[in-house]
Amino acid sequence: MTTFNEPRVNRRQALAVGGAFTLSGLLAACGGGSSGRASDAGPATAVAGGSGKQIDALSISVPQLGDLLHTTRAVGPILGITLLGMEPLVLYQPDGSLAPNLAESWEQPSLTRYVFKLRSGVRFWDGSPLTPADVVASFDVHVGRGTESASASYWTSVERVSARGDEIVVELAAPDPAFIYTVARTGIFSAAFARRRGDKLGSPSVLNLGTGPYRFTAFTPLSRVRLERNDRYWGRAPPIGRIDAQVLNQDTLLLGVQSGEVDAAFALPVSQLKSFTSLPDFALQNVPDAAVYKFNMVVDRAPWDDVHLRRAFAHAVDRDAIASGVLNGADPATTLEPPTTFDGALPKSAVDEAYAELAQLMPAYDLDKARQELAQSRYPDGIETEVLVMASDPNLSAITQTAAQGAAEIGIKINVREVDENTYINAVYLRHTTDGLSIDNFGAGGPDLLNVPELTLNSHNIPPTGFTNVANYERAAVDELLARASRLRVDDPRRAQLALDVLRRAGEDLPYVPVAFPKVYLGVKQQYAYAGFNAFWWLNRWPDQIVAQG
Amino acid sequence: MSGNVIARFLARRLAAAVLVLLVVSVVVFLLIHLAPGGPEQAAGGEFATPQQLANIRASLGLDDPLAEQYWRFLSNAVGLDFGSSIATREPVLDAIGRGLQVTAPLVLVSFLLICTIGTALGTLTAHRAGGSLDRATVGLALVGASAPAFVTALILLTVFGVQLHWLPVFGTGEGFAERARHLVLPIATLTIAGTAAMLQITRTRVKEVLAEDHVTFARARGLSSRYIVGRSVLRNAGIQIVTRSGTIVVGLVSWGLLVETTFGLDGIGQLLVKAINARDIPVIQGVTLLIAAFIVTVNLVVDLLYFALDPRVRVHAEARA
Repeated sequence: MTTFNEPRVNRRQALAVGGAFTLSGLLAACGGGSSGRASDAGPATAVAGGSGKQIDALSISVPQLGDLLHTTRAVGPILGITLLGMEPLVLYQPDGSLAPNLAESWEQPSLTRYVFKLRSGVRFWDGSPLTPADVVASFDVHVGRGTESASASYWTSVERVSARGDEIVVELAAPDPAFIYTVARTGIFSAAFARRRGDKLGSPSVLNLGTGPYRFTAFTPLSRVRLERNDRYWGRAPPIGRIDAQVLNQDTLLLGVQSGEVDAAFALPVSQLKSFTSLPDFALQNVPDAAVYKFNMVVDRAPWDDVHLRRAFAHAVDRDAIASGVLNGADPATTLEPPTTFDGALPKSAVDEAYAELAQLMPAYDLDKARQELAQSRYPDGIETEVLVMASDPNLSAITQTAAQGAAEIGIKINVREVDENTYINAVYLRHTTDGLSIDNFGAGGPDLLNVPELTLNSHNIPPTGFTNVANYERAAVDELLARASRLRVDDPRRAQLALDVLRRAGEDLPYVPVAFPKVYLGVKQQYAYAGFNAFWWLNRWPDQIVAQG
Repeated sequence: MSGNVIARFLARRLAAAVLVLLVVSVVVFLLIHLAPGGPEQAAGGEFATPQQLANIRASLGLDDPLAEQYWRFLSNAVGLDFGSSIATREPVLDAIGRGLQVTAPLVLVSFLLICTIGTALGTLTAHRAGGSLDRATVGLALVGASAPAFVTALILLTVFGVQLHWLPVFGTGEGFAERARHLVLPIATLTIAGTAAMLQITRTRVKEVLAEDHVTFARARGLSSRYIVGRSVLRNAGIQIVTRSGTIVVGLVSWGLLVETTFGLDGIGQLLVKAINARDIPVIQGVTLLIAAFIVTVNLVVDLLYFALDPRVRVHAEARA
């Protein structure tokens, strides 16, 4: 798995499917909402799980596990395991809504202030009570200069976290409409346990302590985690007795599924789909991932500062061929996020219209036009450049090789070099030291529709203040549009318009050549049914979505 | 033979071993620092901010001069303190201990099987050289040795894991019985890969020795076949067999790495691969030193076995002394 394909969802898409909710309605409902007694049914996961049979043990394969069993090291799919033990205040539901969890209610009195009311009577696995101080400590590990949290970039807007009676107050330095999703991805651990264990917290011999429906009982860094049912869970009884989660290489995964040792596999490798499809007792489902494969061109230095060179290259990339051939039926991309991101935020016709316009802006595959653009550039004879790829995502290499064929025809020679993950991340993301052209699979860390535009196009995310703006793209007008959007509430429809405006500017300036929106696949043994699979499965309490059949 | 000679020999070899380990540690240290990317990323994660990465570098002392960092490492390592993993916070010795619980039985049991099966079949086929048993055995062993270890592993997994459901296809297993069950196929893979080398050297040497005059003479004296093979033939073939054993056991460590990957085992090899990817300097240093020390020890043991097996080596050493 790539490292940066974290995110995907998309609340709005799910909302559109699930019904006519709006987030404001939800927030209001939650704010006034549940009574929060111990008898409260807890997170209202709206799936069939409740009526299903108990499952003794489930062996699953996941794309990634952390090197430490701790919330500071949990991003993307790693959260799919850690959040089962260290649960969040609010729970992201398969239908895209947010449900009260450890917080029995919450409100946002102003753009920069959130207040969470803590559920009473909740205990950690060791019997100690959950207190607001635990929540403050669990939030504080991600905040501030000294933090070692891998999620720190989601917490940069937070100024102060404090406890007030049974409430937790979060004050932001600047409006961050997507902050509630940050809360949904942040697990709560025992502050006392953390203090006692010091810097060994989360290591194999220490593990971690939470309040969640499953307890951690064994951990091998990056390889496997064992969870067992928390019999004293405050909410609905956890349906699975034991969960063994492991990261397997592609061949082993296939053998594991064939031998029946793997019951469910999240994020199946697209390159091996055919092998999995042919297995008799294993059912596959897929949803569009909220991620994009894109080429990045560093626009503040030669040679890619030349817009004609960028347009020439864009014309030479055959998106349709890559999407259908290399990525097994993904959707070709003409902008940085899939149109489904806007479902529920704008009428479908408006989204279609906007995406048609975005498609017009993106140079279509046409080698003649590519040659014309190259002739107008400072490099009429073409250039030679190197693109780094990593073995953990074979698609990077396959896409680049395919694009390189088209580019070679017009005189842009691309050499593909495979490097290890650390080298790739350093060159592409952290230091921006590539030859100028790179490829990645990028998704945001949360369901908000401005997440990807913000990360990839805001000049704030160029080193040294950030690094996800891989193209070093800097436009005052774009920064201003993003700033305006951040001053609006998360459910304000004007934010969707602003997001589209930003994407339009990116289409004109072309710092990125989006290639395709991949799909994410889940495989489950036929004796089980999995309801509500979505691109943000790892933010859901997914064991509640699995039912044993027959 | 005088104990003095062996003591002096040992002292020389130990001094050399220390030197080798020092060189290995310097080279590994420099290579890690030459490689792009640093361990601060492993500690901070992919979404760490640049400020965080700088803080982590400073707190790990990664901005100190290289010589200073190396000295710090060396002075701790002398007391067998390799520090803690930057990524997992686990003491390096704990991580190595956990890995050894998988890798040690994997390598040692495979090695014992290779030695037993290889020498037995080698001796047997040497006696029947040219016969159908000889041709079949040598042919089969060659097939096993020529197939890449991961192919052998996949075939075994498909047959015994997927088709017959006799054995698990991945994972390490908990408890002795489960661990043993999980290690059967990996050990079989290594044994298949390594046996041919042992068989071949044993067969060649035993065949040569069988043709020598002293064996003919022993037979003429009416000594039993078992006595001749045990006391005369194998002992004479011993030096080459022991030499080959040394290279096989070292080879098992590197094959083991592949096999661990294929079978999803969390052994020393996986630990090293993950550490290299994360630029986890303390773990890389600890594991490479362990492997280097293992190889040095194997060579030392092989040399000592020469002394035991071959009087000429002892005489030669005494003459030099």
